[in-house]
Parts: sequence; structure tokens; C-alpha cells
Amino acid sequence: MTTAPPPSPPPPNPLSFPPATFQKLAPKIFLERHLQSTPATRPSGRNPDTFRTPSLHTNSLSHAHGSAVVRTGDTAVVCGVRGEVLSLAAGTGGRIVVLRTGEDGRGKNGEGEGDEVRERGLVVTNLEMGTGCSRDYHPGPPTDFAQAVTARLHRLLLSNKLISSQSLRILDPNTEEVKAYWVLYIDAVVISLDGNVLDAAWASILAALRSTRLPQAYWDQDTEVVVCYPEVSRYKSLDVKGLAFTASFAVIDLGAGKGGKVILSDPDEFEEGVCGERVMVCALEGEKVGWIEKGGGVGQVAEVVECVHRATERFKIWEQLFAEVLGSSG
Amino acid sequence: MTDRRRINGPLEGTIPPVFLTSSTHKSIIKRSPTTLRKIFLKTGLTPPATGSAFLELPTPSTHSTPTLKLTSSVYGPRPLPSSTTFSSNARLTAELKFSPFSTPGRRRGYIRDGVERDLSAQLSIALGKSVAVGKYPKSAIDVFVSVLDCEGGLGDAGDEAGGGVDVGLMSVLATAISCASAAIADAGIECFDLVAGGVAGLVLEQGGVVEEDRVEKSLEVGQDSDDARRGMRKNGKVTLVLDPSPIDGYIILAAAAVGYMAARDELTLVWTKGSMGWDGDSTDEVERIVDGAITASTGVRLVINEAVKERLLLGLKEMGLIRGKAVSGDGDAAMS
Repeated sequence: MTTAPPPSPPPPNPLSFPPATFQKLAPKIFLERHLQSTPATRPSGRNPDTFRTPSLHTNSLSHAHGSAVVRTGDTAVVCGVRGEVLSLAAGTGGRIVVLRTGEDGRGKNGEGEGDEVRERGLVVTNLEMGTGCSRDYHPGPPTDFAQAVTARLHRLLLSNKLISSQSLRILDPNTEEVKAYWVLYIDAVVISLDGNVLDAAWASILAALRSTRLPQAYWDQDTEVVVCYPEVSRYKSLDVKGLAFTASFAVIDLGAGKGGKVILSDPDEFEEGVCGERVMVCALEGEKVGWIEKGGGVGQVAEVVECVHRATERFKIWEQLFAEVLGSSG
Repeated sequence: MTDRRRINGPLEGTIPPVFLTSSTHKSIIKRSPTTLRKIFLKTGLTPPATGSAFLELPTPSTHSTPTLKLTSSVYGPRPLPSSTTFSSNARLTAELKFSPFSTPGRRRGYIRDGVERDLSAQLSIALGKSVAVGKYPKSAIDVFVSVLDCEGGLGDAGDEAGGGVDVGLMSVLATAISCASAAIADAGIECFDLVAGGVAGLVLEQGGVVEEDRVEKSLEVGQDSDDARRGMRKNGKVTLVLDPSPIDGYIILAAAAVGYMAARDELTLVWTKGSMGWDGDSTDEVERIVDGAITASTGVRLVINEAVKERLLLGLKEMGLIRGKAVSGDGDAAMS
């Protein structure tokens, strides 16, 4: 044959997918290509060091003593704080209560902040993710991830000593003796989940605690129970000391010569799934750092320093938002 | 029974605060019996879900007024797990859960209780008939409803009853149906019709306005005895109230909740409580109360229509902007 058959028009590009398909097929390469472009941009359109803008509403629930809704991007968490009474007289009839440390801080008022919050378990933190907030979470017992996040939130709350035991004590009006305690049930319910649940949940817990107003309670000697005054004007706000905000990061290694390690602030669900290395920094007031966690990947100090730097910047944004929403009471 | 997967309170147990005097004063009824409460409904507030909706009822006037707040998210149609048997229809499951801080009185536990299971079952029945399940073989459609805040009247022990029948659960169910139906529509799942929930109650009215002390008095007379209630019925005038709220302070003799598909004129769910007469006289109470509930749900339907329309217009606008790409990948465009 001398004449070649008419060349059929080649298919334009047989292996080309719309971005959404590419993202599903090769998530790691998808993210790497985004980050290698100049300027480095994440699939969500953010820069690597950009956090999502948070929004905050407080006291929107009627049956909780304090509540807050925090939304960062597509992650939304509702937190409600409810106080219940732990009566020392009723529960310990004949039983010996062993405190976790030997010291008994009950007798001292004021400075002697015996760590009653920790010893008696006066703060009960829980995070609920089985609300249909994301594709992978189903109702039922909490997943390992939910339990891990709950444990971290609980640890953060206790280690930062935000709640003073004093504001949780219920006294006998005559003898000034501690007769009961308020127990704070802090329930954070994740409404929508798109990564970085820890930061949003923590901020909602802190905002809910700051907006909490407990009824004024006293020990009634005649009936031997704790009674509260119903007047809303006598409700007292909790004594929450200081501020602390967490900032989470995901780190991806693009390889030497291709950009090295990139730290992504406030990762979303997709980025969390791809990146193996995580850093969490809890920033405190006065540019202090209260907690650093880093896992996965070979680390360098410079990386952590960069995260700390970003976390302090993030702290200022949260601080400003809290001041706007909670006002001078915060 | 301790839950080892969660952080629990002190072992000694805690009690909700006890107040010196009951401060709950019944709100004055400002609505006329045939006026529905204002509803706030917005779809698409849970972006990771296929479809979602948030419903608030009524729009609160002050901070402390209890309102009903629900979020609903829908996932699906997604493949059934391989372990399940073949199903030629889509399986619709509904889960309703009260948040721990949503109810007055005692805090709710995390583990689903009987009330929640019952409401979940009723919800899935009410929604099931509206979805074109035959179009999605071997798939599952999961509906999740979380109650964030409610008005009370759930019939819990220690929950101060307004007198008569509690309508709290009914209004939770009815709004859950409406909210979930909006979420299903938002998910783009094929439906025959939207379902709207409505509640109506037969209320004992004395001299036009229900006065609080009179309510108390008549309650003392006939709290449990059915005879006494019948006696009450003769003395007072029985009126039909649409969308009664547990905090309105009515004495509700009977109440009905329905799930109603307005376009097809079909009921997917009927649930009544309390004693109703149906002796064939002019005041056939069963028909009257169900008709009332249907009227209430028709009002709710208008709100759902608006919310779905708003979302649809938004979607069309987005499609208009990216029309060139949207045409080629028809299925994918909707996914992304």
C-alpha cells in the first residue's frame, strides 16, 4: 500500500481528567502540583500559611448554661456547657473518697488552688462526631479518632488550668465549708467537618466556657441539699483565666530541590488525608507557648519555630474575635 | 453503666440544679390559634454532606426563649456495604439524636435511648415514601438529624408538663421531617414530592384566653381521670390550635402530627395522642385534628419550597458561570 489511510484525528489527550477526578485518583500528586506552582497555592485557594477565617456566636442555646458556635471554613462545631451539682454529703455516706493526689485543697480558699478540678473530675469534656458531619462518621460509639481528639481537648483544658476550682465550689453560707461542687459538662457537637476539628472544637469550648453563667447556689442546712436562686440577675459567670488557642498544621515533604517541606496551616480534610506529618501548637497570652505536639516525619527545629510563629499570629486573630463577640466580659 | 469510650462525670453522680422556686412562667400567647410560628430554614450548611439543612423555630426574640433547632444532613445515594444482601431499592435510614445539652432538666446521654429510636423509625417511615427508592438499587441513603435545642414537653420525668398531652416530641418529629426533606431535596435525590411535617392540637380554652391559675385549678381536678377530663371538655370550649408549642401553656387534650406530601395530597405519617371523640356528630374530632395538622404542614411546605428554590437558583447561577465545563462532565459537575 502506497497511500496511507487518512490519519484519524488523535484523541486530544487520552489521559486527562477534570481536576476533581485527578484529586480522587492521585491525591498526593494533586496536592504537590498545587504547592509547586508559583506562588504556592493550596487546592482550596489559600496560601500555605493562611488559616481559614473563623466566626463565632455565643449563647444561642436556651438549655445550656453557656454555648458557642464556631465555624472555620466548612468545619462547624457547637459547644454547650451545662452545670450539674456534685453533692459531697449525699454521695459519700460512709464511703471514703480517695483523691488522686494526697493533698486536700478543700480547706483553703483563695490562693490554695488545690487541683480539685482534676482530682474530682469536675470538668467533663466530650466531643461528638456521630452527627452526620462527615462522610466517614456514623452514629454509635465514638471512633478512635474522636476519642483521641476528646482526650487531647480534655488534657488541654486541664493543663492550661483555665477553670479555677474556686468558681466551682458551693459553700455552706454559715461555715464557709465546701459542701458541693459544680460539675461542668462540656459537650462539643461537630455539625460539619472539613478537617482540623481540634482547633474549632477547642475555640468553641473556650468561648462556651467564657459565656457560661451558672446560677448562684448555696447549701441549705435544713433540707441538706444544694439550692439555686432562680433570678437570672444572680447568675455568675465562670472565672475563666486567660486565653489559649491551638493552631494545627500539616507538613508535606515535596522532596529536595522541588520545594522541600511545606507547612500548611489549618489543613482541611483532603490535606489531612494526604499529609502524614502533624504539628499542633497551643499559644498562650503574652506570646507564650503552652503545648507543642509533633508527630510523623523527620523534624527540624526550624519547622517547629515556624509553626510557633504562625500560631502566635493566629492567637491574635482569635483574641480579637473573642473580644468582639464576648465583649469586656471575656 | 459507664461508657468507657467517653469521659464520664464523677462516680458519685450529679444532679441538675434545683431552684428555690420554679421560675418558669408560661409565656403569654400572642399568636392566634391559626397562626404558624415563623420558621428559619436554610440548606447547605454542612458542605461535606451530599445535602443538608438547618431549621430553627421560631426565630428567637430574646436569648433565653427556648427554640427548636435542628440540623439535618443526608449522605447518598452511596453503595451499600458488600456484606448486605441485594436490594433493588435504595435503603433509606434515618437517625435522630438529641444533643446532650438540647433538653431542659436532665442532660441527655450519648447513647441512643428508646425515644430517639422511636423518633428515628417514624422519621424514616415518613420520608421513605417520598423518595424514589426504585431509582437507586443497591444503594443507601442515610439521613441524620441532630436536635441542638428544643422547647421541652418531651414527657421526661421531672420535666414540668404543661398540662394535658405533651406535644414536644410531636413538634420535634414534625420539624425533623420538614428539615430532613429539605436536606434530601438539597442532596439532589429524586423524590416524588417533598414531605412537610405539621402539628395541630385540640385545646381547652376558657373565656378566650388561657389564664394560668385557672389552668392549674382545672388540672388539679382532672389530671389523670378521663371522666374528669370529659367534664372539663363540657365546661370549656375546645378549639383547634395549629402548631401548638410546649411553651405556649395550653392545656392540650389531643394532638396530631402528620407528614404530608402536598403535591400528591398524601399522608406519609399520622401520629395522634390524647383522647378524641368520633361519635359522628358535627364535631368529629379525629378528622378535625388531622385536617388541622395538614393545614399546618401546608404552611410549612411553603417555607421548604422557598428554601429549596433559593438553593436551586444559586446552583443554576453557578452553572451559568461555568457552563462550558458543566455540560461535558454532567455527573461530575454535580459532585464537585
